[in-house]
Amino acid sequence: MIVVLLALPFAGAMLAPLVRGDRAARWFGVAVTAMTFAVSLTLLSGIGGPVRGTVDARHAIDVPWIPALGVRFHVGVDGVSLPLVLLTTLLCLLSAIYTLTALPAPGKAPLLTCVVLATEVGMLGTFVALDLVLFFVFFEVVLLPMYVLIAVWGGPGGRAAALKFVLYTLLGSVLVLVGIGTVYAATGSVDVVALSGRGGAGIAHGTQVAAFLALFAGFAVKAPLYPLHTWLPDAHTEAPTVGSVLLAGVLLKMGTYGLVRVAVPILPDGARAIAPAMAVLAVAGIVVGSLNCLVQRDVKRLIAYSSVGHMGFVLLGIATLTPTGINAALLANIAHGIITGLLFFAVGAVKDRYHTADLPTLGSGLMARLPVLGGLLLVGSVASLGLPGLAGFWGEAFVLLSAFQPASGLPGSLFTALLVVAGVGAALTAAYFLRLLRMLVTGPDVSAAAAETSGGVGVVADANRVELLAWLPLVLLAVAIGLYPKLVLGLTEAPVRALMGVFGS
Amino acid sequence: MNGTGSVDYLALAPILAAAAGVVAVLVADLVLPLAHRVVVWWVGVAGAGAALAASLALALAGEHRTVFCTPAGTLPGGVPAGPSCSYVVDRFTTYLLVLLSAAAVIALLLAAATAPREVPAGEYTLLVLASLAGGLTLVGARDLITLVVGLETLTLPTYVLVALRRGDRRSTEAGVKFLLVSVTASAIMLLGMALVYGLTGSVYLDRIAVALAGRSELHDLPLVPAAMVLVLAGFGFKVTLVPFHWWAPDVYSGAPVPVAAYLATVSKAAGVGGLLLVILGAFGGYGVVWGPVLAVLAAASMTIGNLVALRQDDAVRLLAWSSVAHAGYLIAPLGVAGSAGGRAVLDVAVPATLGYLALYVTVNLGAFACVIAAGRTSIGGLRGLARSNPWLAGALAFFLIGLAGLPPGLAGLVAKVVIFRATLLGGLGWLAVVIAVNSVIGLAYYLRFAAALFRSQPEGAVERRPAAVTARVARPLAVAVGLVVVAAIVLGFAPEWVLGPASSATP
Amino acid sequence: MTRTAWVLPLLPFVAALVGLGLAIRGPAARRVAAIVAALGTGSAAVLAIPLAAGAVRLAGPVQAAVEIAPTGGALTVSASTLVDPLAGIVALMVCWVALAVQLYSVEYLGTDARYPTFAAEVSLFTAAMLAVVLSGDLLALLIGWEVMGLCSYLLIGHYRELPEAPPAALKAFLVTRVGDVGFLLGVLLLGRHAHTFRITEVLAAVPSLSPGVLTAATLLIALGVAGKSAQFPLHTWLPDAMAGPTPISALIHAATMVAAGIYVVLRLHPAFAAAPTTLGVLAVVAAVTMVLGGLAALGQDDIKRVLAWSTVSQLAYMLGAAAVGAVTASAFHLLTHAAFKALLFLAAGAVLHGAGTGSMSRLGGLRHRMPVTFWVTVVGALALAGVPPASGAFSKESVLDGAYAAAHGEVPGVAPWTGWLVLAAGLLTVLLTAAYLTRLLLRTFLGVAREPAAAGAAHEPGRLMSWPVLALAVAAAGLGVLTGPLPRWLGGSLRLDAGLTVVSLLLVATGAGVTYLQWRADPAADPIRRLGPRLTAALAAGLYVDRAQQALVVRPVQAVARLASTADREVVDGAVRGTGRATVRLGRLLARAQLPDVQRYATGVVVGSILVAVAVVVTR
Repeated sequence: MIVVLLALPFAGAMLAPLVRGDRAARWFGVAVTAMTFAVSLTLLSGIGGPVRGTVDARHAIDVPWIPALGVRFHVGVDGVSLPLVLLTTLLCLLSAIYTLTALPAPGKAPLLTCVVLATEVGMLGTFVALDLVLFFVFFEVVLLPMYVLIAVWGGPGGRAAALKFVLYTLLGSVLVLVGIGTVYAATGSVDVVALSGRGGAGIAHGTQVAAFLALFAGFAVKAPLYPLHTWLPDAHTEAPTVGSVLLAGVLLKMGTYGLVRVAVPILPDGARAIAPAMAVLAVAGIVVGSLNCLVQRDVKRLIAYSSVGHMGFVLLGIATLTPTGINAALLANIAHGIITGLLFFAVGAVKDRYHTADLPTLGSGLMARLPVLGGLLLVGSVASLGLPGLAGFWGEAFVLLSAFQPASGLPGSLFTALLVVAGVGAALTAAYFLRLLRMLVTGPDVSAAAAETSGGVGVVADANRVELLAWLPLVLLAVAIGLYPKLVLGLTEAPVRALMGVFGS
Repeated sequence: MNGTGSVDYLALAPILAAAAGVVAVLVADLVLPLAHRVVVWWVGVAGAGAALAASLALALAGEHRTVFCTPAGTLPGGVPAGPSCSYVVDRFTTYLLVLLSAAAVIALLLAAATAPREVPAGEYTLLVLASLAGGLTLVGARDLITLVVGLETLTLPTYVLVALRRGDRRSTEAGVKFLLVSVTASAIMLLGMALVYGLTGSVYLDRIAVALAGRSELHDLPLVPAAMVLVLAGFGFKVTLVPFHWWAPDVYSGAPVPVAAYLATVSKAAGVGGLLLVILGAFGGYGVVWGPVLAVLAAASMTIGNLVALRQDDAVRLLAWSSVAHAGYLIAPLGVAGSAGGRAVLDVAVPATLGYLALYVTVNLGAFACVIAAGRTSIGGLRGLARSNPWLAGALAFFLIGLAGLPPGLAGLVAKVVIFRATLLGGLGWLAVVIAVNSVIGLAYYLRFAAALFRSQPEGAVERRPAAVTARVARPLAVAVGLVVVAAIVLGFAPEWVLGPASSATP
Repeated sequence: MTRTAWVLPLLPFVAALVGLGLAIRGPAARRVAAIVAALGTGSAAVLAIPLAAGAVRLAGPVQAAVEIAPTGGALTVSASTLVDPLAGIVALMVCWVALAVQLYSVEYLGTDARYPTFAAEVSLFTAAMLAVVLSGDLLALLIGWEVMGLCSYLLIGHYRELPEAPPAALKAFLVTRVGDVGFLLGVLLLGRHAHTFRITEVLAAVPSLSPGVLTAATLLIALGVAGKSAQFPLHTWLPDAMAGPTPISALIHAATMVAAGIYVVLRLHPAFAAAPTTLGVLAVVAAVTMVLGGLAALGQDDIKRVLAWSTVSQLAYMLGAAAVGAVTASAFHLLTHAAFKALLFLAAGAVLHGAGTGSMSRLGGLRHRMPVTFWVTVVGALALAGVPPASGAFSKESVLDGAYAAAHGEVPGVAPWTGWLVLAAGLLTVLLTAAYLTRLLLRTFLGVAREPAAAGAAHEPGRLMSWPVLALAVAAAGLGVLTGPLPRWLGGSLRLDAGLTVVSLLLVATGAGVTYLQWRADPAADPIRRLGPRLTAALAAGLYVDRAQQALVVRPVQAVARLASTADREVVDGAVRGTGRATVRLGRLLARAQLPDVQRYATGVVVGSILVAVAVVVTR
């Protein structure tokens, strides 16, 4: 089934450029992503039950690929990866649906569909790969499609931003390759299951630290971790809506997933050595990201910086090296994907309608003009600021909880101090989202952009049916996970416990 | 050669096929009327194809064949030596035989389209085949004399090839430059070889190794490493390793583009083969000496090559500098020699270099093929290629991305994985990081180039473009591009087809 | 009983969802929206009666839980109900006040196009408060806790055309959110050490917790309480929140949201009681807030702002009572305050509705035009001032008595000085309360109309607004009867000390009398004019706490944010861009170093070989 999961979007990406006509290409994209989503749902069967071994991959396929290198085509899903797989297929489907009515300039739907599907292949592959080299290959697959997405459909600075994105993240992924090579050199294996099972046994401490450092640096660029984040605001500001959604919704998760799947379980000693630094940078990211948001004028840039803050929470959770922390990080990952996906959809729709993302120009009172779009922005914002009852809360709350009691061997008092600072960051998060809402959504209906737009082409329409179809699933998921986080935690809990067994409890 | 008298002609079949091709082309060129000259190409392709077929046959047979052998004896200093042969067909040889002849087929196809305008068909085909025969000799050579003969046979025709562009002063100039520098490099290498012979008393690689290992008085002699470096310099020149790379950009861009393609692939691959033969066959015990040298030179090559390529506006010059950079990647795994891992590490490093070589040759040949097909070499001129010829632009972009080592250029990606694996296995973490940083720099210019193809021409530039270049791509060229695209895609998904043979091809 | 407890928050929640769906259809749906809202809250109110009746007879708490969030460690979070007498009674109070507000709003927002949204948000608010009241899990409680914050944000910002509404809404959410971060950390700390988030189990684990953990956790939770219950220094949002529609003020700022903070303190009281430091801090906070609120209320011109500051001050009574261990007194005052403050707000709403303004300097003499409103306001004022037999007299006296008892060291674990502090502040506040209420009544309802036009248009509201007010008036007047049964239900004690009552009545008389005399001297002028312009300005501005907050917190944060943004752009990203530029420049430099002609190529090769050879030989 996993082969189908990868083959569908792959075949779609191959065929998409051959589809004649924009309309047909867009429907083609919807069809392929819908089928992929359906396939990913079937993976839910077989998940659950007792966890055997450190990594208990279900639906696994394991065949030789490059025997000369000892590389195998080893894929499978478990509770750690499946939520991300589902998030990916869902967001791709919603993106495809969204482009049905909102095709970004300059059109070229066949190419757009191709690029989105190619990105999907890379993202899904990364999440299901259980061979380090295979993982790396998929990790790199996304780079170019995303570059094209930002460069072709991006704003005026799209090309520069895309280049920055691709070079920066390539640096990250080659560092991952250095890490993988180091692991291979020390163990002679690139199999994730086997390597997780041995839990770093037989790898010298120094090697572990060096390998972890390389992997960590690589994944940190992707995540992104402060201060390796500066590609992100540029990329998001310029990217088209679909690009922003996929970038924030899934791509960033590849970094954190890599840490959880590859770096931490395979190199526990290295993880222990680096974790305090990681935690400090994560919290720095939370605070600096939030502070930056407080003064942003560009909405998309603001949401991008908010991602830096949220991913800081995820990384802090991972840095505690506890099952609680990792669980929380995975949940926060998913929640961030859903919520930020929603936010970028809504903000992108606003930008498409008014042709600007500049807050002062957009003016306040969106709720009065476009109640549905304004309402969605409101929901997305309060979810993102971590309102309990919506998805964003639990992950970040549990991250803080885990920081009260990091894994043995980590400096507890440092983590306690960090969690207090992270709490301040959470308060700042509320501050900047409320500032955003006040400047854009609530308040009296005052908008220079609206005046200009309606003066030119007539009244700006509120969200249409297709847009609602693309967005409502995210709202519903945000509420569902917010009220019943076990939806995700039920999947992740047992596998994470097994994965983190090497750290003790 | 007081051999047994019987010569294993089967072992020499690829060389003989190439040589027969030379004769056939000569005859055809003389006999055929001018109007039918195009047949000459096919004769040439057939010659190279025959060499390829013979090579494949040898490779599939997998037998160990030796030619021109000398019985066991005693070396100066009383070191005993087993029987040695001048030409050996083993897995290493067959691997390179196949690679060289396959690349030569493509190189011939590449020139076919440009022939009437730029390159005289007879001469080009003849020279390429002659050079190929030299290359095929080189990779099977197991003594210094045969090596030099092979190397010179490989190189001599290329002087002419470089200068072959009719009525182009730059081409002629490039030929002369190439000749002069090449002669210098050869002289240095010959000096080194002479020293080696003087020190060891043998020209056979295996006997040199035995002598160097067996005679303890040689161990502390500074002349030994000096001689080794001089020999390396000769091959470094062929491989365009820094600091022997100076000629490459001028010569590549002065020469007809198919010739540049030939130099960057067949000639370079043969150079790598010779280098491997010498350092492993003769200097194998001195990895501590040449390992670090190669590591440093590799790092310098990739860094300088990539940095300079950043600012190139000519596609061929860019590919020339990229070829300097790739020489660095190619040689990087060999830098692990002499590290703690010992021989086991080299058993990974050499296949890595060989595997990388094949994948690189494929992708690079593809890039050259597309540039030739596009008919222009300035990157500015190639702007908007996607509009006039989307398939070609797509193929070129695919190869460029492959050179950068990024999906969908999976072949390039796997190649990158291979060398990382080898260098890290040898404990050269610093070199891996240098490679990592370099692959980022590399992407910057490959991507700039690739992106230009998809950007629209600036207003007003359209008129100045000659009409001919937008014409359809000639059929042989299209075939060549198609073949390489298929090869690159297949090797991307099934790299084992290259890496598998490479893994057992250590000389 | 547990089933009722599950259903109770769900009823208004469903009403809220349906209402939000209706809201999309716009003002046309107002009739249906009103019915849905009334049904949701009304059915909850009816259900709450048996729940409360059953709850007060319970010997021990009744609970049920469903796991919703395993953390991966030993801890787990569950959606749970915990019914005990306090929960039952408070739930009852919440439901009925909410119902009163819902009904009142139908008329009050009769011409408002966005009424359906408003009604749905009030329903959601009610549901959230009920969830807090009935939740048996501290983390799950946070859902209701913060959804209330969200609702207050939405409702305060309801009049979006008002310039002051959006900032007021933002402030309310943000300030309470800052407190909530503390609350969250406190709960997490408590849960981490008690190995559970269930309230009953946490309380059972209190004796085994170290004092440090308890102090830290309760102080952090107290931060959240201060935010929600508008205690110094996080009280600043509440007076501004009057920008919302008046029924909302009644709901949020009298009976529900602000009560939630106190309620949580009461529910977790054993944990607080085990942390003397926290109790001391709470007492100081309560004392400061009490007096501050009373003083500020004295200086306000707007009726609603007077009442808002009065709420701040009254909540401090409850907190003070909790700090000195008078739990039952605190709960008692919570209940009576809910009644009389809702009453006062709704009455103020009637004034606003009828006269079109709440500014006392523009009102006056409304007694004749709005007699009913006048009299119910008097009832509310008596209750608030603590004049028997109105309910507030009993609850406030029991608070003061609790403080008195603590001051005499009769409450174990409570330092006497905190008792004295709360008592002194409480008595001073009694004086202030009487003064500002007298001022409010005199300037609004008595004397002559300052703006005859406004007064002339003034009229009594219709039935939907009057009946809820009258019902609340009855409650405000009569809830004193709880003095008897409440200790029995809640398991504490309520004492009324005759001497203390006399003292406080004297203080009431003094406050009212002085104000009256000042007013008599010049009915058109403000009775507090004698305090001088600087002091009155300070009182009107809430003693400048707001301004201090701006200067000490808001502006520094903004400055740091600007700095961080600049640093991010110039330093962090500057390094990235610089690397890129430097690389390109290096490339150009190297390209220039390319040797120009063939002789030098050859020389280059030769020199290169020699250099490498030398290097190898030398380094060997």
